[in-house]
Amino acid sequence: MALQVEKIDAVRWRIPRQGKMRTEGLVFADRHMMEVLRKEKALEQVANVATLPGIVGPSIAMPDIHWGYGFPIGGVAAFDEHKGVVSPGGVGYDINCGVRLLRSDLDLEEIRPALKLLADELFRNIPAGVGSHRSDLKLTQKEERKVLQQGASWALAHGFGEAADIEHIEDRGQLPDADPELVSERALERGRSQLGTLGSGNHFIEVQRVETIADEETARRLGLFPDQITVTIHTGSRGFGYQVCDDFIRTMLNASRRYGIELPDRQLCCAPLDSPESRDYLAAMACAANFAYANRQLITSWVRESFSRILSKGEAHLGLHTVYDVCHNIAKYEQHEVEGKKRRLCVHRKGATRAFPPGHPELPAALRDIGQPVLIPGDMGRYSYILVGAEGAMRESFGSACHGAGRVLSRHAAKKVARGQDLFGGMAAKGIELRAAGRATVAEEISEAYKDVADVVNVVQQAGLGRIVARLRPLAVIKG
Amino acid sequence: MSPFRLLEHTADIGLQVESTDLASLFHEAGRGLQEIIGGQTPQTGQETARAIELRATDRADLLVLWLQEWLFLFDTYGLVIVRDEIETLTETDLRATLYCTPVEQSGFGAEREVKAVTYHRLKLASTPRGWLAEVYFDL
Repeated sequence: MALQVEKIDAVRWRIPRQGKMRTEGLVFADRHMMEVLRKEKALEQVANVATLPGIVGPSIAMPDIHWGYGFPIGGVAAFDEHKGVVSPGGVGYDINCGVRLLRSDLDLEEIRPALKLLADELFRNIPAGVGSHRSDLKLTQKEERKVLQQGASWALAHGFGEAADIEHIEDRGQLPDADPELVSERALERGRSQLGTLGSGNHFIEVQRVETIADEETARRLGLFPDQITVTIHTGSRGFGYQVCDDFIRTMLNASRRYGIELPDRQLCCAPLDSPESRDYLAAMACAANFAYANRQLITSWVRESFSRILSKGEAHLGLHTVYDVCHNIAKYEQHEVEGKKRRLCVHRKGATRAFPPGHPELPAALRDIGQPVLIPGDMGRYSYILVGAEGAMRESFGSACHGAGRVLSRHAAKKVARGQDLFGGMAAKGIELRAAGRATVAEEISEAYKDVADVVNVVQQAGLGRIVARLRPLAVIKG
Repeated sequence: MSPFRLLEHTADIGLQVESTDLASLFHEAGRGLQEIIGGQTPQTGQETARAIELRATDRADLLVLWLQEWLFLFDTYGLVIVRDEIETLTETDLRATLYCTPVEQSGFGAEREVKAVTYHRLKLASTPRGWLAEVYFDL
C-alpha cells in the first residue's frame, strides 16, 4: 500500500500515522525533492522508525534524506529516556562520521601556484583508500584503549594538533562514559591499523576557497573572508566503528526478542534505554565516537604538516585553525523542550548534524552568541556550505539539520553516467585538482550522483533550522 | 548465467544470489561480496587456512555471520578468500575452513570499501529451483 504523505507548506511534509506508526513523520523537503523521494524507499523508512517504542515527537527526515538501511540517511528520532529505545542501526556503522573545517590565513592567489603539489602531498601524506595506513603510527592495544577514552585529547597529548582545536569540536572531541571493556577484541583488532586513515567512498579532504559570504558578521566571527583558503575533512571511526555496530546489532537482535519489540526491519533492532544492553551499547558507541574524533584530529595535524612542507612556511604562519568539527552519526542524551516541558531524550542522528542555536549552553563561549557551525559538504565538483544553527531547529528537529547533499543515483547508475567521461580531466577543467586511489570511487561520487546541496541548505534555511553563512568552492579533492 | 547479481540501492549495494544447494549459495555470496570489493576474482597466492564455527538464530542470520567473517578477514588482515570448504551447514550452525591469500599476492585491486553486512531487507528462502538470498552491504 502506498504511503500517505501530506503537504504542510513549501518545505514541510507530514506522513500521518498509519499502520503501526506510533507517531507521525515530518519530512523537510521542497516539492521537487518530494517527487524523487516518492519513488524510493526512504519515506517507508521514516514510517518504520515511527513504529519504535518511546519515540517522542515525529520521526524526522532532513532534505538530504535518502534510502539507507533500517533508518533513512538524513533521519532524526528522539526517544524518552525511560520508555524509549536506542538502536545501533539508528546511528549507523560509521559511528561519529563527521566533518571538520579548518580556516587559514592564506588566500587564493597565494596557494594557486602550489595547488598541484599540495594535492600530491596531501594524497601522499594522509592514508586514503582501502587498506592504506601510515607505517609511523603503530598503536599497542593499551594505547588504543586510551584513544577510545580520550578522543581528540589523546591525539593532542601525542603532539597532533593545537590546544585551541579542542574548544571547537563537538563534545570537545571526547564523549564521556566511553568504556573500552565493552568493546570486542575484534573491534580493537580491526581498528588498530585504521586510526589516522581517511577511508574510501564518500570520505574526502578538500582544499577550498570561500566563494561567497551570505552573513558577513557571522563569517567575520568565524574568521572567514572572501577567497580565503579552507580545508574540509570528512571521515569517521573506520573499521573500529563498523565492528562496534556489527557486534551490538547482534546484541540488539537478541534484546529486541527478549523485550518483545516488534521490528518492521531487523536492522532497526533496539533495546529499552534503561536496559543493560543499551547502557553497554552507548558506552561502546562512545568509544567509537572518540576514535573518530582522534582520527580527524590526526588528519588535521597531517594537513597542517602538508601545507607547511609545500608552502615552506611554519605551521604557526599558516593560521590553519579549526572552525568547528561536527559529528553526523550518533545517539546522545540531550535536554529538549517538548510541549512546554524539559525532557531528557536520546536523540539519534543518522546522517544529520546537530544544529544548536545561539544561546545554547552546550556551545563554547566563543560561539555561544552566533550559534553552532553546521558544516554541509556538497559533491566534489560543486560547493559546500557553512551554516549556523537556528532557533527553529530546537522547536522542530531536536536541534538538528542536514548533513550533506544526499545521493540521488545508485552507485551503479552513477557509474553508467560516468562511463566514457574523463573524470579527472573534467574536474581539472573546473579548476579542481583531483587525487584518488581508484577510478571506481570517483565514478560513483560524480556530481550527478548527488542533489544540488544549494537546494538542500535552502530548505534548511527556509524551514528555520539553520542560517547560511558562506559557500566554499573546491580547489583540490583527495578521495580514497 | 552468473549465480549472483547486484541489487540497486541509492547509497549502498545489494546482492542477490541463487543456487541449487545451500552450501553453494553461501560460497557464491562470499564470491559476490569479494567482487563488490574488488571487481574481480582474487588469484591464489600463499594460502593460510582458517577454521571458523558460527552459530546463528536462523539461516539468514547465518549468511550474515558468514559474510561478516569474509569482510573481517579482508578489512582487518588484508586477506582475501580463495577457497572455502563448508563441512557442516544446518539451519543455525556452520563449520568451515576458509583458505586465505594476502591481498597483495592475489592480483585483487580493492576498489570499494564495504563497511558492513546489514540485516536490511535480508532474505534467504527456498525456491522451486533451490535457494535464493538477498543481502545489502553498507558502503
